[in-house]
Amino acid sequence: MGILCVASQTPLLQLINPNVVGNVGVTDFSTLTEGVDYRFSPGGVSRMLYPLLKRMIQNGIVDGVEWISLNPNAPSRVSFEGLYLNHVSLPSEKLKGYGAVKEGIWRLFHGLWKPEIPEFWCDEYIDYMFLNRRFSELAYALHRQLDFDGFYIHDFQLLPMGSMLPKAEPKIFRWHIPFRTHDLPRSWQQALLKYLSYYDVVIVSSRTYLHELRRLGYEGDAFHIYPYIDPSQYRQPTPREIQDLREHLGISEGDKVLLTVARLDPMKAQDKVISALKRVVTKIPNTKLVLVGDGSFSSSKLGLSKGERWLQHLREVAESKGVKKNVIFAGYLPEKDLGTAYAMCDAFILPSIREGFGLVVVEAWLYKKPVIVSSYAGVADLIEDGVNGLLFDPKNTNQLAFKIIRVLSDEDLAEKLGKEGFKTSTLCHIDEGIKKEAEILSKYLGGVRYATV
Amino acid sequence: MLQFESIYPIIYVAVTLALTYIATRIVTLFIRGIFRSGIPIIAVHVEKVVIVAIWVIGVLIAVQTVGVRIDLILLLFALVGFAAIIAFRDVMQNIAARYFSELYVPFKLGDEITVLNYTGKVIGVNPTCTILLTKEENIISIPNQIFMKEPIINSTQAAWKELIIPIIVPTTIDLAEFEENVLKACNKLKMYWDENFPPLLTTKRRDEKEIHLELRLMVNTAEKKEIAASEINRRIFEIQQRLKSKARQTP
Repeated sequence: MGILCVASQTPLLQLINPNVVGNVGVTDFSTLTEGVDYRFSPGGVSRMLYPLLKRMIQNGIVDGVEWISLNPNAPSRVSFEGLYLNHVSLPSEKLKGYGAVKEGIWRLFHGLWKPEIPEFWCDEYIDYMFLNRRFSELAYALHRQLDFDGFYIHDFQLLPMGSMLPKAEPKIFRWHIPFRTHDLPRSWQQALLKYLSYYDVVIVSSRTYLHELRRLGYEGDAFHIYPYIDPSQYRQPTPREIQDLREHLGISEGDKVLLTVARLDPMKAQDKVISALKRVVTKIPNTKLVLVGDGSFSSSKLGLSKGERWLQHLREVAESKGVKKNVIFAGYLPEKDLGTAYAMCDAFILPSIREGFGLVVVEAWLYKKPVIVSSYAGVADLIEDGVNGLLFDPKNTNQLAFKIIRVLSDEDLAEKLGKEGFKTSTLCHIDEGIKKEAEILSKYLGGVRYATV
Repeated sequence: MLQFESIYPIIYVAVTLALTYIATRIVTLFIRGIFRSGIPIIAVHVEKVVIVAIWVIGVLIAVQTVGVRIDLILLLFALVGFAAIIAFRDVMQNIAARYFSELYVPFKLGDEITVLNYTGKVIGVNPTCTILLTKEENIISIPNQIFMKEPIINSTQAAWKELIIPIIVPTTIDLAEFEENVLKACNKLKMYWDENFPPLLTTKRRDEKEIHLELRLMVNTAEKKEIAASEINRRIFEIQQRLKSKARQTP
C-alpha cells in the first residue's frame, strides 16, 4: 500500500517556541523538545489519529502519511516521527468567519442550535468553504507529487472536502462528534446527505450513531469504530510522582479526589460536577474535584475566547455553591502528569451534555478507575450501569451527586467498576482500532498488510 | 551574405504565424464579448474551435509560401471528412449530441428518466450512448442522438429545481478565490434559490491546464429558472475573466 492523505482541522503539534523554525527545508519536530518548543494539541481526534498512523507505518500497513491541518502559526511543512505534517493558514478575517460557522455546526449536532441555525447564505459560510477548498487544493497538489492511494478526512469541519477532491480516488470520512439528527432542520439534513454522498464510506463512533446515520437516509457504506488509544503510551506513575502531583495541586493525604478531563467548553458541563459537589461535600467533606483542561485549539489559536469565558463561569459557580476550596483548576497537564492524575483519582467523571465519544473514560479505565458517565456521551454505548461504570442524566445534578457518593463510600463497588472497566477498555485499544481501520482501508484502498497484534 | 529571396519565405512564414496569433487574440476578445451573458462553457468551447480553425488557416497560408500546394491539402481534408461523415454518421451524431448535452444538462448521473418508453436510472454517459439501469436490473443503452430528438421525462424528485452549471477554469486561477466569488454571486441572487440547499461547487475532473467544475443550485420557482440561470452564468463569466486577468498579471 502507498501513501495516505489525512486531513483534520486540529493539528497534531502546536508551536510554542517560534525560534526553532528553520529558514529552509522541512523542519523536523522530532529533534525538538515537547513542552518547550512544541506541544501536542489537546482533543480527541489528533490524540487518536497519531498513534494509529504511527502504528500503521511501523507495521507496514501504509508506506507514508501526509497529514493536512489548520495551523496558522506553524511552518507550512514539518516532519515528525515518520509523518509529514502540512499546515494551512488563512487570513484572520476568514478564520473568524470559518470559526463562527464551525461553532454553529458543532452546536447544531450537539442539539444546541435553537433558535439560530448556521446559515448557508452568509459570508461566514463562504469562509468555511474557503478553508475546505484550501485544504483540498493542498491535498490535490500533494497528490500530484505523491500519488495518494486515498483520502481520509476527519470530522465535520472538513465535511465539504469530499466534493472538492478528485473523484476517482477513494475518500473515507470519519465523523467524530455526536451524530444525533432527529431534530436537525430539514435544510441541514439535505445538506449533510449531499456532502456525505461524495464519500465512499462514512465511519461514526458508535453503534447508536450508525443507526442515526441510517435513519437520516444515508444509503452508502458506513461503519462504526469506537475511538481508541494506545495503552503503551500510558505508564503507571511512581508513588513519588503521585505524591508530588498531589502536593502541587494542594491535595492532602486522605482527600478523596474526583477527576474530570475535558476542554473548557459549556458542552463539557464541568459546572454540573461543581454543582453536584456541593451535595457530595456534605457527606464526604474532604472531597476535591480536579478539573484538567484548558481552551480548545480553536479557542486558543483562532481567536475565540470561549474557554476563558467558561473558566470564569466555573469559578463563579464554585464560589456561589460554596465549594471554591474543593475545586482545583489544574489547566493543561502534559502527558506524563495526565497519567499521574488518572492514577491519583478515586473516581473519574464525564459530565458532558453532548460528547461524540469520550476517550477520556477509556483512559481512566486503563488505570482501573471507576467512571461516572453522562448518558449522552457516545461511550455510554459501552457502559452497563453498575457493572463497568455508572450512568447519569447530565440534567440531573442530584443524581450525579448520589452516584459520586455511592462510589466514594463503597470501595468494593469502586474496585469492581474499575476492574470491569479495564476489561471493557480493550474494545478501544489501538490494536482493535487498527484492525478495524485496516479492514475498511483494505476494502476501499486496495491491498493492505494486516498488523499482527 | 544571404540573398533576400532565400530569407523572404522565412520572414513571410514568421509574419503570417505572428499575424495568426494576433488574430486569435482579437477573435478571442470578440467571442468573450459576444458570450458575456451566455453560458460560460459555450464560450470556452467556441473559443477552442475558432482558435483551432484560425491556426489551421494561418498555417495553410504560411506553408503555401514554401511551395506546398494547399489546394491539394484542402481537397484531401474534404475527401477524408466526407468519407468520415458517411462511414461514421451515426457515431458522429451521438458524439455531437453528447457534446451538446454537456452545454445543457437535462439529466445527470443517478437521475431516473424515461425516453422512448424506456425508464431507468442513469448510470453512465459516454460519447456514444447513455446507459440506464432498470428496476429489473437490465441495462439499456440509448444512443445520445435520441436525446436531441425525443422528449425526455426526468422523474427524479425535485429535478425541476436543480440547476447544474458546468464551468471550466484554467489552473492558473486560484480556485479558492474563484469559488469564493462564485458563492458570493450566488448569495446576491439568493431570492431565486431554495434556501434549504446551499450552492455546491464540485470538482468533476482536472488536468494540468484546466479544472472542470459543476455548480449545483436549486431554484425555488420553475418559471424563474431560466432567468436565474442566465444571471448566474453572466456573473460567473465576469468572475472568470477578472481572475484570468489577475492570473496573467501575477508573476
